[in-house]
Amino acid sequence: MIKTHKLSIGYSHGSIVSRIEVELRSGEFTVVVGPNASGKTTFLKTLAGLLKPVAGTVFLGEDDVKSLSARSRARRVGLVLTGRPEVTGMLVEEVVALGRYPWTGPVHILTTQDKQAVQQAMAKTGITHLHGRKISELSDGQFQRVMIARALAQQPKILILDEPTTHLDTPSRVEIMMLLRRLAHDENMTVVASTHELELAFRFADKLLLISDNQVKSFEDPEELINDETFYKAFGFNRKLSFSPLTLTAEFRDSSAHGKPIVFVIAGGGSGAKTYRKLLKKGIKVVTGVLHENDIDHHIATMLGLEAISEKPFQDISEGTLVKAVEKMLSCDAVIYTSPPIGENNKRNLELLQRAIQSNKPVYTAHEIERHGLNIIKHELSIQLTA
Amino acid sequence: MRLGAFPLLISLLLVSFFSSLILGSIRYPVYTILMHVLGLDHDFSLLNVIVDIRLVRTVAAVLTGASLGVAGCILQSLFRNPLADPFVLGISSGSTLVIAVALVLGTGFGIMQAYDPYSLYIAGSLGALLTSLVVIGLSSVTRTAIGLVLAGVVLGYLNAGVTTLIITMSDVETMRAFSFWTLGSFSAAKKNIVEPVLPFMLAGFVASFLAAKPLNALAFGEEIASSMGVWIRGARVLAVAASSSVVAAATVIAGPVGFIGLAAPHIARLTAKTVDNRFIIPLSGLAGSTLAVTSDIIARNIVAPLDLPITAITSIFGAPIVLFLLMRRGLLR
Repeated sequence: MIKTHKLSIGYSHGSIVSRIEVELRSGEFTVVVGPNASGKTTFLKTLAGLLKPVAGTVFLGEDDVKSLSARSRARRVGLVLTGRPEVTGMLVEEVVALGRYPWTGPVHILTTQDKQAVQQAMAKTGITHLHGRKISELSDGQFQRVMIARALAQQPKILILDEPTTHLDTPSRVEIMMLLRRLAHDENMTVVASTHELELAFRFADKLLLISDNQVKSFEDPEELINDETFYKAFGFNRKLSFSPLTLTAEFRDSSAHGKPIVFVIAGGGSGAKTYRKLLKKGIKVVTGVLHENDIDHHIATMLGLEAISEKPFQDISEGTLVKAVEKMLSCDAVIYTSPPIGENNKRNLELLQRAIQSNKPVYTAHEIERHGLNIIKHELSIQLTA
Repeated sequence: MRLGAFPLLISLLLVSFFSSLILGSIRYPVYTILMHVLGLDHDFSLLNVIVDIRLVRTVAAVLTGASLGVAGCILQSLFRNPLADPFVLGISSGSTLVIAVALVLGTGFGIMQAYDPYSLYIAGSLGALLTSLVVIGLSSVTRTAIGLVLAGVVLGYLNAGVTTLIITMSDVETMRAFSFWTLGSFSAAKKNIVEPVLPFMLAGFVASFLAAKPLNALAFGEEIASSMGVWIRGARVLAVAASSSVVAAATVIAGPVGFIGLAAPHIARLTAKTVDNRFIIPLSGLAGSTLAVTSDIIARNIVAPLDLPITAITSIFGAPIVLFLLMRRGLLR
């Protein structure tokens, strides 16, 4: 367990973040997020006892980290830093065995117990098969696992990692995050990691710490964090760039589509998402409908900043909504039908399609666009516009 | 890890050791020499005198070579720089400089005798320590491997320049007493200098061996080492004190000798196929001894009866090693 009391962190010339009061429990995977240069690294190094607090105290269990010797501190806290130091000639097993440092004598001779701890650390991180390989030959993901195994060989109750997924490919990122969560849940460790990748943090963290604006705020779940007013400011989100609390993904709204040709997309059930993005990328303005408010397409359309004609959840499309949709559709330059799944609730979308055909609007199916590209529609639109 | 490296390097050392006793401008049958060295022959003759001189000289080479090899290994690990070595970083010349200052001031004021081994050793280790501290300071500024080496080379020239200045301004007696330290040679090695310095050297070897554990941990940087329980300041002090104490002993015995400290650790790592300092530090000592003895054999036999400075020989094998390392690491690009 880690607890801070009136903690201020920073360097000798001043504090970056002050009055930090957090409690990180064992069995929990805590992820620290914050914009660049907000003090994530400084915070983690202070927790690990590498940097002295500017003021206040860090408690590891019952003890002030300052009162611990390097050796006893190393038996409680393992640390993994970002970046890959250029070390040649060492074998994976030798590197993991370095983690026995706080347990061995002056000549670092490994006892049976030490060797067991090394084997266990390699097994937990899934690198046993790599034991005889040179670390300089490993992939970045494998190297990061070796560094985690080395920290685990110290047999600490606390594991602190600074940006452990930076420079890794997507599968490795997810694997490392899953490994860290497993260590917290199955081994009852206190695991703290920082990242600047919000989507990754929100998916895996049991607890989130947001460092920004000279303070640390603690959140139990991502939605709470996303809805906090400091979050949007901290990461520079605005009307164009937003973060969805439902899908936990960042979305970009392109406002450059204003004044350009308008296309009405009849969608629903996720059939429209791909078409929206495709049209927006080409700078075409999109209006969509009729979507139920609980529909995934409705959510995506809102995140992308599209105008959507919508209906209340689980209700049939009303006459009024349909009239509104038809009116909107007829003011558009073209219509795309994305073949949404049709049920009792949204069957009036077929009436909408019928009206489009009857009123001689250029109508395409998403399938056609898929096959011929957007050029067919562009051609049509330019004729329409010049006529 | 190849444990065969130990017997291999020990046998090479033994071969070079006995070759050094046998080879020389005056030739005697091998059997006669061996009998004398093993103490089975108590006949006092010219032969014995010559062999005794060769024996002292060879032992001096063994000790100096071991010191430089061990110090080179420590410095390479401490600075995480494959080109580090007491000569390249200017530590040997720093040691020589303070020996020169001590000689001039000591004999000038009559507080010290020209060949007092203890005063020389204290001066030598003081010089090595001070230069090491300067190099540590420089290493935090330069940050690149090649930058540190350049800074060390410049520091070495500075030390050598000041040494020459001091000695040139001193009286003839001091100048003569000092002359051999500037060259680097085992020709003037005497029992009464080697013997008193030996305990300091042995203490330095023990300290060096104990530095192996923290040096291994430092491979991943100071912060990771500290998180694994290394007391960084203590480890640095231990490593610098250990290397300074052996470098000073080597300098007092032979003056500044180049490239042995650089080459020995690489030979050790190549033969043992590991970078674990617990093995590489003693192996570097063995490799350094063998290099020093072999170089000395060449130095006094190649244009016999002339005695070449030892660095003339060590540079010939050392310089290509440096170039090879530079090219392999892409440091020249």
